[in-house]
Amino acid sequence: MAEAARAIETATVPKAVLDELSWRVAQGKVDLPLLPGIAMEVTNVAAQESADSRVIAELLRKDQAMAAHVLRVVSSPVYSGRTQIVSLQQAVARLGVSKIREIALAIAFRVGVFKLKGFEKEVTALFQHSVSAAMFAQEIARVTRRNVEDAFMCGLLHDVGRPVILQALVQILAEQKLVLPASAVLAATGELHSDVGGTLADAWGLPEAVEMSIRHHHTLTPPDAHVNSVRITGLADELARFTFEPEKMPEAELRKHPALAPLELYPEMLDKVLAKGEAIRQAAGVLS
Amino acid sequence: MSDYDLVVIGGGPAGQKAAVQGAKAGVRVLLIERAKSAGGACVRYGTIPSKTLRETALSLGKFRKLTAHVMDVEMPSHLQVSSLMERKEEVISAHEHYMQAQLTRNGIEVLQGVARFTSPETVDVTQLDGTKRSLSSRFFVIAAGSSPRTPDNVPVDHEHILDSDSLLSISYLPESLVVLGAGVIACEYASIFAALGVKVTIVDKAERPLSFMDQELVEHFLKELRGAGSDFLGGRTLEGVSYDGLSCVETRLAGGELLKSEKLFCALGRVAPVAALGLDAAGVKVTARGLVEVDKHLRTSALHIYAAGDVIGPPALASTSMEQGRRAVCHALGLDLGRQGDLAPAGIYTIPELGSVGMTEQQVRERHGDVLVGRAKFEEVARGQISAAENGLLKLVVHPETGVVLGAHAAGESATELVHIGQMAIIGGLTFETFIDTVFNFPTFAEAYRVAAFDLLKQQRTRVSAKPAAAE
Repeated sequence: MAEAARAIETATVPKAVLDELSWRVAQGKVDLPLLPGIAMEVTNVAAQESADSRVIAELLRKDQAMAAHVLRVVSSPVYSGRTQIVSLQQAVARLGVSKIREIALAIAFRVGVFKLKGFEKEVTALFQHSVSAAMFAQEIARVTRRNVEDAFMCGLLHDVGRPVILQALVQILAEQKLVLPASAVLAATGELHSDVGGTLADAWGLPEAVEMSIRHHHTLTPPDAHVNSVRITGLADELARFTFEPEKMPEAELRKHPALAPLELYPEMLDKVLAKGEAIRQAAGVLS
Repeated sequence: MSDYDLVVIGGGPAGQKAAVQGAKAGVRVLLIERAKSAGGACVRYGTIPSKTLRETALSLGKFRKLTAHVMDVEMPSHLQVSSLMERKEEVISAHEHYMQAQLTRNGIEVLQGVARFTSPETVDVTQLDGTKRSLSSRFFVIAAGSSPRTPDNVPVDHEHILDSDSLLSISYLPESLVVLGAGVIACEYASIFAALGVKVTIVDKAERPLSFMDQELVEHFLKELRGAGSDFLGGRTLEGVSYDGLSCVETRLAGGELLKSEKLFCALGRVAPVAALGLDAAGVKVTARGLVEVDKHLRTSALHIYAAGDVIGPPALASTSMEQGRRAVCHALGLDLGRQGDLAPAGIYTIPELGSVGMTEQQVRERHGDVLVGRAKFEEVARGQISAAENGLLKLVVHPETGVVLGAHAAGESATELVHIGQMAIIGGLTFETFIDTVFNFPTFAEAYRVAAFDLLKQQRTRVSAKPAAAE
């Protein structure tokens, strides 16, 4: 947690608030709520016995919070025994769609939705970013012949720390009757998300590749075992940024990304991935 | 003056040997390889990773038998493939290190990038950062390998529907796998996954898999495959493949047959990357099947440009590709080829392993009107019993009159090694009696040659004693 501690010192959010956040993360007393629209859709669709199972599967894939919760539940010994479930497809194949439907419904009822007055736009953007990063990660894995399912999960969950921190900070500030500018809250979220997300992924028993991608997708310096998952996630993160915020990530800069060479992603291969940009923007845009 | 004497495009088995041969002849050699290290598909996606997984599957399978069930091994269901492939990176890394050392030792310059001909004498090389270098050479060897062929009705997504480049990227063992194709790659992977407990179904239009192999050996392979709970469906026509959007891949066959599996592996041949090479600019002709056309000296239609390995088509084995690379450069530089032979063995790393060299029983019968075949079952050899590898067979194919060895075919443990003894006998023009008069180490699989030779002796004596009676 050294990086987190250093980040905490530099953030403009009061130290007492950040200490409380750290304590809650360590104790597992933080929430990962769902997007209101997704929760409602899951509740509606999963409650219908006649619903197309593919719609449920697709909904799970579009929501980082729902995906994280499902993976967390299905990875418990109750469902998977000694085997770790590493992807949503594997979960559906192993447990059957009716069991996944039950789990999704239970999560939608139990977890609750975001209550972040003033941050609605940011939360939607976070979820859009995650799903587009997941889809870009999938495409990078396809062209470089690496594991597509793993890449998708790593991309989808790489920023899972952000909504958790945001929700927790807003709660703590309200409890302590403090008012801070949104920019300060978002800055703290940005600085802490990798470390907090990694800690939560570990505590939730998510696959190690996912945890490493959450922790290292900005620094690209993970242990050897998951180095390519992290590189793919790091590049997908920037591709998603380029798609939704091109002013913050110019294409020329994107083409110099440090993950390109080690992934052996030649310019024509990157072009193929970029060609999927519009389809990904539209698919992720549905969340808004 | 050209930048180089020899530019080799592709660092797989053919390219690497071509480059080394050129360097040993003292010319300036450049090897262009798109990956960061030489080796090609053989090292990244082919021989090395699949054989590493195969060894793991074999070891797990044999453990119970070898310990007489005193110690049992139970594989957790849905085992992660990555845990079975722990050694893969180690093996690949060691192999790449060895190859790099060989290139360095021989003073071969290596450039990472993708080459494309811009004229008969020049190539443009696009590097990872997008920069281009233009290079000229007196001679070229195209050894750019091949990639899996994807028919239009098989939408390979590398996630549910995989090809040989992506199959080993999966992170967990599927419960079921449909394999399209009945060639070497299809059968090798099918038997590996079957040995790991996956229910495998091989589907092909041919009635039998591995049609070029001795049929008795193929029966051996099929018996073991079916014994592992898997199956081969021959004579089927594929209509289409699709992922159901949820949890399984559906394979539709003519006649309304529908197969459902968790994953599908498409192994319906390989294609050479001819389009990316800019062969038109070099004046290099391509065959109707999309392969680089070469003459017997491995020259393309542009006589200073040679081709070797997968880009020229079958047999597309690492062993033959290496030899082609070497021969191409020897011819280009006017070097003596040495005493060469066209006798190349075939090794198929299915479970059981299949090895073959020389003529098959059918071929000898067609050419000489008759044939003598000596058989040795591994259960008759002490080593087979000791190694729990009694399900094996050696066939020694000899001339019906002279007894000269013409072919050796084996199925079972060490089959690919075992046929090399037969290969030497063929090259030496030896008769099968040589094996009767020769002492081999005990206990070894090589003893199977003596057993097969005694079988032949018995058959020969029966024929001799039967002849006078027939004359009467």
